[in-house]
Amino acid sequence: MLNEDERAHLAAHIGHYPEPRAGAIYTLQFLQRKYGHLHNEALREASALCGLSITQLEELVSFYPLLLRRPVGRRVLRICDSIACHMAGAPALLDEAVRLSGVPLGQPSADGAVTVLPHVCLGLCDLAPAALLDEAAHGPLDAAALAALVAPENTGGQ
Amino acid sequence: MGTFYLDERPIPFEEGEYVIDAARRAGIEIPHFCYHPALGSLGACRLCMVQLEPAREGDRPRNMASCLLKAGEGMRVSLKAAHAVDARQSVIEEVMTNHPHDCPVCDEGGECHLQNMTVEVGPPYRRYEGAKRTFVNQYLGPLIWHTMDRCITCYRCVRFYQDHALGDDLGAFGSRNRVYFGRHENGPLESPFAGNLVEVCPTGVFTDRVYRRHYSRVWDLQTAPSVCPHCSVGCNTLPGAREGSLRRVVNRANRRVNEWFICDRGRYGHRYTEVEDRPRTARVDGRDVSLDEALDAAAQRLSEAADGSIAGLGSVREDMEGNAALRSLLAVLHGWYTAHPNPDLEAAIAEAAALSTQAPTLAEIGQADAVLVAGDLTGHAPMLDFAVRQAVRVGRPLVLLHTGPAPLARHAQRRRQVTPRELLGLIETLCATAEGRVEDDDLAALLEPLRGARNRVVLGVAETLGAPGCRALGQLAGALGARLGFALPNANAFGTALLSRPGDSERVLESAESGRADRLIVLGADPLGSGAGAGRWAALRERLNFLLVLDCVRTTTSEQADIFIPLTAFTERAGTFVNYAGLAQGFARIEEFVDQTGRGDHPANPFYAGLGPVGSPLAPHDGHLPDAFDAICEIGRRMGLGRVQRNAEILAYQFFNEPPTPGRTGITVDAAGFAHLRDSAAVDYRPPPEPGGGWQVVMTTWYGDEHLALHAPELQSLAPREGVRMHPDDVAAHGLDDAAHVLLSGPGGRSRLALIADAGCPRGTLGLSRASMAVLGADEGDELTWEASA
Repeated sequence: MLNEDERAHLAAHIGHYPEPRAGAIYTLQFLQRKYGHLHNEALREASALCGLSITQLEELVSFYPLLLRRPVGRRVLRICDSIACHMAGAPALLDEAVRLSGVPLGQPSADGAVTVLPHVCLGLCDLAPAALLDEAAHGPLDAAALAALVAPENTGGQ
Repeated sequence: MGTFYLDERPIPFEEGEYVIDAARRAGIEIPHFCYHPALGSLGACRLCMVQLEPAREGDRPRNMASCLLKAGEGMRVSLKAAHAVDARQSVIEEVMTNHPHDCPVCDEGGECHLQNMTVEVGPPYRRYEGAKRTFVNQYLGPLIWHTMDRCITCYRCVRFYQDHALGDDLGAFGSRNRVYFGRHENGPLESPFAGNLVEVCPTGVFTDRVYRRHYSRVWDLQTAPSVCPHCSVGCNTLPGAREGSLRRVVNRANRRVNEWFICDRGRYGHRYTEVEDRPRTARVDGRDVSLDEALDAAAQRLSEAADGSIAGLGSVREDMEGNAALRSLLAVLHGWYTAHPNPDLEAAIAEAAALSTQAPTLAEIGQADAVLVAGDLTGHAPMLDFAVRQAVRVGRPLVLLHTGPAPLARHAQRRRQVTPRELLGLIETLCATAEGRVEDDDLAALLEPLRGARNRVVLGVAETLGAPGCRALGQLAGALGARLGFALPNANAFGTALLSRPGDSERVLESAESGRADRLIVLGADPLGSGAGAGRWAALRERLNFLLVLDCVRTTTSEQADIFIPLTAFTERAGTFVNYAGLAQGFARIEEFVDQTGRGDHPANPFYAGLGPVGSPLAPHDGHLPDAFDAICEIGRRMGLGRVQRNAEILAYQFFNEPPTPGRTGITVDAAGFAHLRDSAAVDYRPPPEPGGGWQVVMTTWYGDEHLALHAPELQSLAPREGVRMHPDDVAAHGLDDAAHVLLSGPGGRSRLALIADAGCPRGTLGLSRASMAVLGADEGDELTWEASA
């Protein structure tokens, strides 16, 4: 549940735009920071604030990979799989990440430390194959660098 | 105006026109997926690529999407150029990589745009041998079937649903090659226009779930140009039948009425023709008999009647011909005819029709600069609501005045909700404000969006406005210099107004109540059940010595008939409806339903010799039903009254010179017709009573609520819960909740209904469905008493 201050802050932000729906992306990002991911209740709150239906919000959330509809680990590793990184070895990197985390892509690891996700072009072609750990860029990555990146001391896992 | 050249062929174009549209007008269909005449150009699919010859020496030819290429004087484009052919083939090859090869089991097969384009453009064979992308389909309700694997991502569905129909529960999810079109969760699509997805989808993603239950390949369907019988708009439709049963209804484009779309009431309401309990057998005194016997018995009992002791009730949902035949029969028998069970409704229809001399077409409403609506258009004439949405869509203001819940409220720039008895005063004061006779800042603000608009449209709902409200709205439209149109009840209210004289309805009721008329003929109406004014009629049943009912659906009234004659449905006969704007349109019979009289060993029946403009009727033997006109004229003939039919033919078409031809543009009622309507409407109405402090009835309706469509099970499964609706504050103030029941008492009877909290009803009102209002004998604005019931 949003508290009064948060609600007022979002309403003020949305009020800057000629149309409430223009504030949808900011609102969704705000809610995701608060809850960790956008659950149904978060979408209902966003819908009430921005005047978009749940379906219309879902259109946005499903389009932007930075918006998450499912719970994730404490850290999120986004491995780029667009063309430059793909050619530089992203598929093997993704397979390795699944092996290291012990869970399929998109699921939090058993200790809740990290979730690995494939990601659309990060614009880090000079670092291909590249990845983001939360908001920090890393690359070029190989199996060893990836292992260091998701190591417990780096992600706070066991 | 100018000329460009498509593969050397000169094509004329209008200023600013795209190449694809100009070519289309010249009869050349450039291949396309995402372009749609109603949805316009998008440039997403690249299938309409043409090669543009360079205008300057030394430039190289380029491929351009012809849906976004504005035609220019002397421009040279080519469909046949090798580069353009290659580009189009690569588009087909790409969309076909994931498209399943399931044409043999796909409902779209035979009318599939993707199939047509692939065969036309090529390549004919697939090179791709990899795995195909697949999706999980959704349950989208009882009307639409979803098969997402077939999608080619043209976005037509979402463009129609969100941009044109203003629906918000169908979307495009995901990105790249995993775009998914559906809802955020399983559940029925909420838009009254969702069925159009079946037609706009160029392949088999959205198909007709009702048609699917009794499917036929489209090339096996017999069709005929028809007119939708489910509301006063008169959309043109193309029903398809096979082996004696109606399978589906699709849109038939007519620029003067519905261009590309119909509502779900029109698309799925036709199921009244196929339901189990559709009456197909004639009855006399509770015995099933042959049609021949029933016609004889009817003629016999009407012949026994004393002069002037017969009354006839026609119907706003019956065609011109049937109503004219009934009126003609009663004229010969010196009885009274009316098409309206309710005198107030008769007056409202006459008033509204008389004011509709310049009623705007759907396209004109969509192009209006500003629209004012009084009433719930969605529940009374869904396609008028759709037309209003086309104006809203491009940013035109909508001002809404309403009493009950109205889906258009979401889209109104300004709106005012009042109780039914306050509505007339509101319209009158608005009119005075518009004319400058009254200074009222509040009302001036309500009208403000209309200020400065050049091309204004005013629309009202006759059934809930009542005659005084219609008249007041006419004055407001005059003050605003606006075009005025009304949603009328059912398909032929305008036509019945042309056949009526003021006071007919009251005269029929009085003649029956006084005992002067003790025999009643009812055609296509349900005065003892759901008809308006049910209170007075229900009390009459005891006094009638004879009740003859002719109808194509089973009703409370038909169940109580002494003689019942089943009729053809509107796809099984030819006839005429007059729409809300006074446009008379003919509809044709599907040949499937025509008896092959004279073939085989069935002797030709003299009963059919010399029929006039109505065409040859069906033979009255097992499995074939008569239409209203034939049945009534035949009763007349068996009474020795041959002139009933002649008079009926004159009456039916007296105000449009000739019967309108099915499939052609309709004929607008002539000046004499409008003069007749003006005379009918030139009476003083009782002003509605002042609010007496009681609980006023507000009609709550929905887009599927119409007498024939009530018999369509799939559509009706979407009906809102039956109950009495009250504002949540009223519910709380009485210490009640959603689990409560309420006992209502009205002039017609009592009714116990579930209580539903609904913020769409004004404080101090009771929101009731048409059916509940009939049981209680209450009209919009009548005051009822109620008490909480255990």
